[in-house]
Amino acid sequence: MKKVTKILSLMVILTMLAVSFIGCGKKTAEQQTSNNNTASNNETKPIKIAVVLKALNSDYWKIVQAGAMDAAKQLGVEVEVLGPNAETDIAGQTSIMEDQIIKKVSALVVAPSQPSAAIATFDKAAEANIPVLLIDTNANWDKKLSFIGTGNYAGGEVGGKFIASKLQKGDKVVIIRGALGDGTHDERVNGAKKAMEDAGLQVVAVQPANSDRNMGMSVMENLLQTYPDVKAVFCSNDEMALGAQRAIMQAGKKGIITVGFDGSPDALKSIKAGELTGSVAQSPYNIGKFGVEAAVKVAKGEKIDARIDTGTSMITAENVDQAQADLDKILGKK
Amino acid sequence: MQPFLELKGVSKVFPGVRALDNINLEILPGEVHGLVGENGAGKSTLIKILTGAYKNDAGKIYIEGKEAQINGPRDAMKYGITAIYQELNTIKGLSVAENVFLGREIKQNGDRGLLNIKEMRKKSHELLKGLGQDIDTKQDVALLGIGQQQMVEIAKALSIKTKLLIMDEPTSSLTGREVKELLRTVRELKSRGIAVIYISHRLEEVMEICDRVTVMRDGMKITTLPIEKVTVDELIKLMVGRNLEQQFPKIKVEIGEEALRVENLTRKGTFENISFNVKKGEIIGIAGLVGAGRTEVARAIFGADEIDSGEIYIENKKVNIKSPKDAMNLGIAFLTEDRKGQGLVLDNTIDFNVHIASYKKSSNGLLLNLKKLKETTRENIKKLNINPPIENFVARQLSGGNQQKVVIAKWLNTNARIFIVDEPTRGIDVGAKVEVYNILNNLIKDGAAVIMISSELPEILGMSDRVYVMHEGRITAEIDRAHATQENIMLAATGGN
Amino acid sequence: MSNLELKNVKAERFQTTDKKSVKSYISKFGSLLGLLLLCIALTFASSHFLTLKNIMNIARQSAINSLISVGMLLTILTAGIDLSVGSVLALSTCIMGVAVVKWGINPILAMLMCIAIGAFLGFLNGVMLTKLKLPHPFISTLGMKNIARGLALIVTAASPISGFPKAIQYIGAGFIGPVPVSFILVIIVFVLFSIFLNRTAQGRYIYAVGGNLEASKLSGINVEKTLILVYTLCGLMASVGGLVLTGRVNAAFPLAGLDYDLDAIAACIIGGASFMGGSGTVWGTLIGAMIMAVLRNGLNLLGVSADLQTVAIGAVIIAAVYVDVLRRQAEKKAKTQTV
Repeated sequence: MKKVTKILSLMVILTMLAVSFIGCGKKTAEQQTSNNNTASNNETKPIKIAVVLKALNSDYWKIVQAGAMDAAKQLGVEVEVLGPNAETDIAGQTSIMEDQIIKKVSALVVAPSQPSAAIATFDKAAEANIPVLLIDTNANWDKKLSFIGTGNYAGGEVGGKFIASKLQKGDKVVIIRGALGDGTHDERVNGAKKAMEDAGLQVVAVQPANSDRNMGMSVMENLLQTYPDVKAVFCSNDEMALGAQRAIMQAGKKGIITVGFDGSPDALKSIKAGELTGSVAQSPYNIGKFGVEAAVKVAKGEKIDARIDTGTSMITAENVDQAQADLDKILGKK
Repeated sequence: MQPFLELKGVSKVFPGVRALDNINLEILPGEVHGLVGENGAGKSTLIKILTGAYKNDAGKIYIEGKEAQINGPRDAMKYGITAIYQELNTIKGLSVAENVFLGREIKQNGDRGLLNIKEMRKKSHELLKGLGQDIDTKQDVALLGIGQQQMVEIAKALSIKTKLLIMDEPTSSLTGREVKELLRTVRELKSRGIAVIYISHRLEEVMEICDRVTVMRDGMKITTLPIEKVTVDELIKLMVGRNLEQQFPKIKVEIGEEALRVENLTRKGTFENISFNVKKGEIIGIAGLVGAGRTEVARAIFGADEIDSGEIYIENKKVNIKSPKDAMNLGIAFLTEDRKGQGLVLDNTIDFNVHIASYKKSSNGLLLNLKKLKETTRENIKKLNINPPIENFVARQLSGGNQQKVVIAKWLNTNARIFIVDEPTRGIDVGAKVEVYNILNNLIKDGAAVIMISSELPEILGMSDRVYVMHEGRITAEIDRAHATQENIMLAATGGN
Repeated sequence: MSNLELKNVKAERFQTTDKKSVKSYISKFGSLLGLLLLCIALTFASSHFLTLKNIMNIARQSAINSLISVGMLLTILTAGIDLSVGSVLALSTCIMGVAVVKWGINPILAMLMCIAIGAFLGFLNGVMLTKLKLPHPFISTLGMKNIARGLALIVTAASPISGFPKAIQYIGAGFIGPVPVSFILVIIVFVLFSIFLNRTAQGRYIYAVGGNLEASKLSGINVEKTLILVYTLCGLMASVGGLVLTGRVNAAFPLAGLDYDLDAIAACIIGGASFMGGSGTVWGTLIGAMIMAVLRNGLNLLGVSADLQTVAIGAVIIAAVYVDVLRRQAEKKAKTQTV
């Protein structure tokens, strides 16, 4: 017993020591950079860009990260990509941004989890003369230097139009969406809904499944009960779409069009296997890459556009092989 | 004199039970009125009606001559009725002053604003001083002894202008000195014209402090008598409704081999060099004041606490007891003094409680034989006269005496041969006490050995074959039955020679 | 002699309460009644509710939470809690995913490994509580919640793992006739736990430890062993729930089960378990899990808007527990009145 306690306490002490060493090392390095740092002298200061994402632990964000890191390599600047453990961890994202402001990075590139909640932090960055660029998700903040992304609304429209192109007027469709209060999902759903309704389709239900695969499956199972004649389902991310697709498959239904959003590796696999019909891909790689490139320009004092489009595409069985190959290249597989 | 409180024909019926039946009672100002009766006689129902916890179904209550409606604790407070219970209601973590003014804190300007702690301290100090208590009112009540905490509750009662104070078993967990102090305080209250209803199983106290005494039995008032006209024996007779042959039905059985012996048992800081033995068919009493270390010795023998040195022998064989489980495997049972806190799973049934120490034994293979368990419970209920005789009755709802019987049943089911019983009759009524003594008698008849720890000297004298006396963690005397007296035990218990 | 007679008279006064009246059944099965009422209401509200297919949907949708809840029940019975079940589920299934999909380990072996990992993590929870003497399981399991989640992210490099073999999918997605395998598993598990809790000594000890720790110690019960066993079984059940989840969606993902701890606690409490420990039943917990699943299913069927669904679920949790509080009060009153 005593032995266990001893070993444990030793482990704790070692971890603490290790952490404090790393911390110290970092700090001194940063202090040096900030010493060289004067606001007017852009040329001599090493450019250091912080990219703060909604999370780091999904394929989508990993691709954004890959794009950002590739840009960093090409331009020879220092880029750090950060993010909380979950997209819902808004407070965590705020803390990360605050830390970067204190570190006096040259520019902040942010994909805000909750745009309205992030504005106060953006203001702090502006006060500290740190330029802020938004990627992926836009925010209603007048000092932003640029928004780099596709616009989720536009992405939703692409998905909606795709579904409409496969169906007849008056056909029933359902929408499964992510957590309420997440602007990204609001926009995707609104875009898809508008496109489908404009095409004369009947959107019979919008139900939440919290971006979770299991819940997406449950919700689809239930929706199939009420609307056995539904012709298509639009999901505001791929995880839910994969769940919904599984529910459809298990219910023995055929020909229901299932469209996800994000173009994640799992979704591509499923499209290839002839299960998922399609996924709206936002080119996360470009979001990361263009974001860092724009940030570097800003840090160097160059002008950039207030709106940079990164393109949206619909991945279906026809182009999935190409998309897969691009993805593998980005993620460094094969 | 106009009575402060007058009950006329008060009744309370619960489905299947007439808890109170046509009670007529008068309490005079400045009177100390004893209320005695076995558990279940209706005393607590009566108190609950007076404090607004229950509403009477029939009859009328008059306070100072006017008909009163006591619909809740707030009404009771308004009429000047306060109760102090056996389990104290002081809040640990709050200071003495805060406890006295709990719920009616004095604020700095009228009703709003910050607490006026100074004023609260001053006033509570005055109240306590009036009771002859010099207590630092800044102190956390948790640091006070139980007796002093009770004084804090009395001070609280005085601070709300109480005219009738109900004291329910106020001395059951007090030491001898504290009891004296409390009785002195009761006299002080009386001299201020406050009426006191004094409920106690300790009839000697009732005789000492009360002016009149009311005896209740089975929901009925038997009689009210001036205290000069009654003796303890008569009170007991009235309470149980039958002639008690003997308060202590001691039997003598043939004493056999030594069952347990401890030598030089020491646990630093609590007890030292404890040596004693008990034989088969023998009850040994361990007397002493609260805090003498008796319970601690019992816990150590039972493996609940570690010992620093010393040996334990069972049937002359040295044993090593590391846990209660070891002790039980050696045939030891330990009836704790705190049956609610340490003996029972209160929110579970009788059936569950009588088996928790013996479930392992009752498994045939992997599974329990539920039928057999139920049967054993029924036997227990029958043998020990547990009331109500319902296996699924929840332990919390049983009276103290019946709870104690359930704990005893738990140990009987383990087939133990050595019983350590700690305050076996604390807080239970006279009838149930006799039943407990008879159970102990049956144990020694069967050749078991009993170690009885008790703070009640009559019990020690009445039931023990031999008496050991402890004082400050040491055994100060060993006296056999023939020579034991209140005096020589008290002398040894207080450290005299 | 007269003493005995007196007691017998007293005993008779209580006989009436032993008879089981309709009322006592209602109070005993309060949560079941709630479930039935909910079902009746939904049957009228939606023609799609009372269909064999939908009932089987509910059976499947409740399976994961049911399996986790029965483990959670054990900890709640001991007046404890396990906040780590969601993370334990994620870590155990992710390791299984890596083992099966990346290393090609035999699926049966991998499932056993998954369960063993869950049990081991639970065992660690128990050891931290009893041997390190952490003050409350809230602490040890909160720590484990974070550790296991982090490790799950590490082992999967934060990506979902999909493409499980048929054997694993069978548990979460298979059917025997019209009945989902996952629901059959639930029934088997619940029968086993019911037997364990009610018909074995160790099971009874769990109630004893939760009802009164000190009395249990002094009754010779090995309290530490009991607690460690409880947390081990809770971790084990979390990973069994994980097996079903993995099979159901054909994927193991590191962010699986984020809110499962709270769902499981809710199921236990709705089913009548008490945070004070010592009371609660296996079948009540199953009903609690069913109530939550029926509710979510019903709200979907009725097409209730997303925001209102969140409100409704919260309200039902509070209402269900409040009904139970009322039931207990009534029960207590009925009992005190006999004394």
